[in-house]
Amino acid sequence: MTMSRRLLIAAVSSVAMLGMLPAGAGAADYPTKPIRVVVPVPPGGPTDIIARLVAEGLQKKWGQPVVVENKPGASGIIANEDVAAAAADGHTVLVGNVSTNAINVAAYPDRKAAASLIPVTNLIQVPGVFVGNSTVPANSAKELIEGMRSGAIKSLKYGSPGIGTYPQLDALMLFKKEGVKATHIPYKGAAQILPALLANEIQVEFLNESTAIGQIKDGKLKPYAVTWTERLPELADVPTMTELGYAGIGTSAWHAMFVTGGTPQAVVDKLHGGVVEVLADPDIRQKTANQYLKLVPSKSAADFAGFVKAETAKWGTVLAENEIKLPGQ
Amino acid sequence: MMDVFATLSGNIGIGLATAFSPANLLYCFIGVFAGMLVGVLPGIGAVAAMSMLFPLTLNLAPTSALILLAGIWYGTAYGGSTAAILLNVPGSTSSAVACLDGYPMAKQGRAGIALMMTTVGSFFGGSVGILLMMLFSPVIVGYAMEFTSAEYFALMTLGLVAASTVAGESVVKSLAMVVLGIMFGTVGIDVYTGGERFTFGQASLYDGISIAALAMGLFGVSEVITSIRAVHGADIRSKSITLRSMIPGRDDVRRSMMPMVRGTAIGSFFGALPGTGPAIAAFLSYAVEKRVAREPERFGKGAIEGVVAPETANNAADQTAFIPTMTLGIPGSATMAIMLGALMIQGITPGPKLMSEHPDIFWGLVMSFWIGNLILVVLNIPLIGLWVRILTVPYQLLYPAILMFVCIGVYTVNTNTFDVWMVVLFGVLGYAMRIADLPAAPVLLGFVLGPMMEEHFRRTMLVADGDFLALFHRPVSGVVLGLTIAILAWGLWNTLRLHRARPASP
Repeated sequence: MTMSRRLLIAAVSSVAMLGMLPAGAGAADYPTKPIRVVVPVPPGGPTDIIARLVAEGLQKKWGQPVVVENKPGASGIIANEDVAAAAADGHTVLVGNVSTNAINVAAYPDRKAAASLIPVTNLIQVPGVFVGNSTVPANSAKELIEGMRSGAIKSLKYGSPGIGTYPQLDALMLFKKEGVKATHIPYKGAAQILPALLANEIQVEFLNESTAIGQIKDGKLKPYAVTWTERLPELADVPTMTELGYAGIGTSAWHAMFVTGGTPQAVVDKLHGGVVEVLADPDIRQKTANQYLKLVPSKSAADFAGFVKAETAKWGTVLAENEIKLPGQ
Repeated sequence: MMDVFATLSGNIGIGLATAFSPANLLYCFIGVFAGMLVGVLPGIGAVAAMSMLFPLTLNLAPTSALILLAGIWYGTAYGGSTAAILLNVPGSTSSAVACLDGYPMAKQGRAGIALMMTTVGSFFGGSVGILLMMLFSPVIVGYAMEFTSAEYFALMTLGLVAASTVAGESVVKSLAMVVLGIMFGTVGIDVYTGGERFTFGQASLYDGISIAALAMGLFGVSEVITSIRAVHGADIRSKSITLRSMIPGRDDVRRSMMPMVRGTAIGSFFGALPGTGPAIAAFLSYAVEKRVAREPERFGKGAIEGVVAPETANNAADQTAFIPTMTLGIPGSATMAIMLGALMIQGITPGPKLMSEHPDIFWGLVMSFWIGNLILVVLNIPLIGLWVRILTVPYQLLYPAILMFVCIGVYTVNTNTFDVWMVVLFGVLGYAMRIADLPAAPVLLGFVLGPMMEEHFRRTMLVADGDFLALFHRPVSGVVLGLTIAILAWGLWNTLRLHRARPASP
């Protein structure tokens, strides 16, 4: 009994010491224990998939287990708070996205968690496509807007995966710029939108390329514009939003890595370097290309921090100008 | 016509060749076995298990990855009923309804029969679901895609009206509990305004109350609390467990036939509709059984129909849920989103061309369903004896273990400790409801159906610019709502007639 108790004490204290190590240790030793990757969305989507691919690469590279943990819910607030509260030693990271780490940061100035995180690097961007149901009597964005203006296209409905999500804001900005009216129909998450679009319950929508491409090829959806900086190889005939004169409207959702605030700069830089190296792996290139995802590693953590700051400011303006209030505000 | 069969048999050949490769057989086995185990353990649902195994699939061949994940998905439905029947703890959400009559059967010493018949029902439902997927995928998907919010609203209303009889004797109590369930269901962020409803500023409540927490608290935890007070009360254990006791009697078989057929139909239908799925299918098929039963008063006291029909329905729904996912790339549920993710990471875009561009994947997967379902039957039947033996574990050992599994299970769904507190809360509520003799099933029903009705009703109104009659303009929703009104009117007339016939009764 005494023996086992002594053993227990020894074990506990050595674990405790291990836990204290990173605080004193420099980036040279990092990582000293398993890394936890927190993902603010359920498994299956782009954020989750890139998190898992990066986790796998880092694990191979550094020989420490890298575990992905999905903590969905409350627009990412739960996951952000989890990572913000973790030890500032780089062993807890967040893979978030434009919604959970820019739009929501702008929307919830009182919730400090997301804003307190240190941006590490951008990972991927998902090009979007502005599409319409095949029965909509317009074959281009121009025809659509003209039809709405002349009254030939009446009571147009556009969907979104919820209030304050970028597909809603993109459509809102577009119609506002053109001075035409359309009704917003919010859905519970992205899975409901495609069926609604195909059933013509809503007529237009900003979708991820990966979601839209099969239906476009099948002729069930008409592509009006893509949100990427250049034309997409799979949809070479479809103009970009910028080409159509809508620069700044249309989001290619980004998915990126953050780390607990207060993490030593050397650790942030090592993490940045490690992730960038992992993203250069041909296997990851293939797997993301398969999913119509664009790899966009940032030059440096500081570079990416600037990007996040600009994005947060942009969405703050959009929300304020359109008087959109998000839940809990 | 001959062409169709020639193509079909060719495809089946491709599928069988793929599914019977040693590697795929192994992954199929691992998947269904893991699924069954996860299903038996309270609360650890398919989503948690699939996301845990998801990283493994990154390095597998596409078909193997899908076969593995799919096996977990439909395997849980086989295991899910086990804990529900034996311990009154729903193993997965879709098997919560199996508690209602399964547990009373276990108390009567008929646990073996209940498990046997649910296995048979599950296999039957699953098989028909697979057949439908093979033969009519494009047709079914075509119909499903015609469904707008108006149709969903009409179906949910019909379901709730048909199901308002789910409870025991008192209609008033039952309706009150449906309302309570709807209230729980409205917690969270309002989809249309972004406003908070009953969240008390808790971020953890923004997405509403977890159905796993609700179901496991109301049924499982309250059962454990009850048993603390009455350890010597129930004595399921005194019944001997023999192979003979597991074989259903002629009466059981006769009573189960039609419920299996109806359960399959309901399950196949709701499975193919994105956004509904096995839990709703199970509830509605229970409601339908009670509606059509000659002696509805037997329900809730160990009616075999009440176990077989919903278990058949959720398995059928499990299979047909693949139809929109595979043929349109539309995942109807969180589990299907994981399947889709697994497919896409392999460079395969699910969609209308999947069946023609990747016949080996589509047909290999479908054929693996048969194999998996067969493996499950072969695994499950000998295990029934073992499962039933769980009941011989002394309560003081069994119940702490159940509580532990419930907590782990609920935690793993969202990895949020808040949900564990919710289970405790609902356990206490469930216990209080038992004391007050209030039925728990309608709470769950209201919780699932109520908010969906609200969501679809408001969306229909939004799309139709507030024209209430829009609900009746579309043929399907019009007919279904007409049917609902007819059922209501018939019920009312019946009540009045009975009331007049026995004016002296109190």
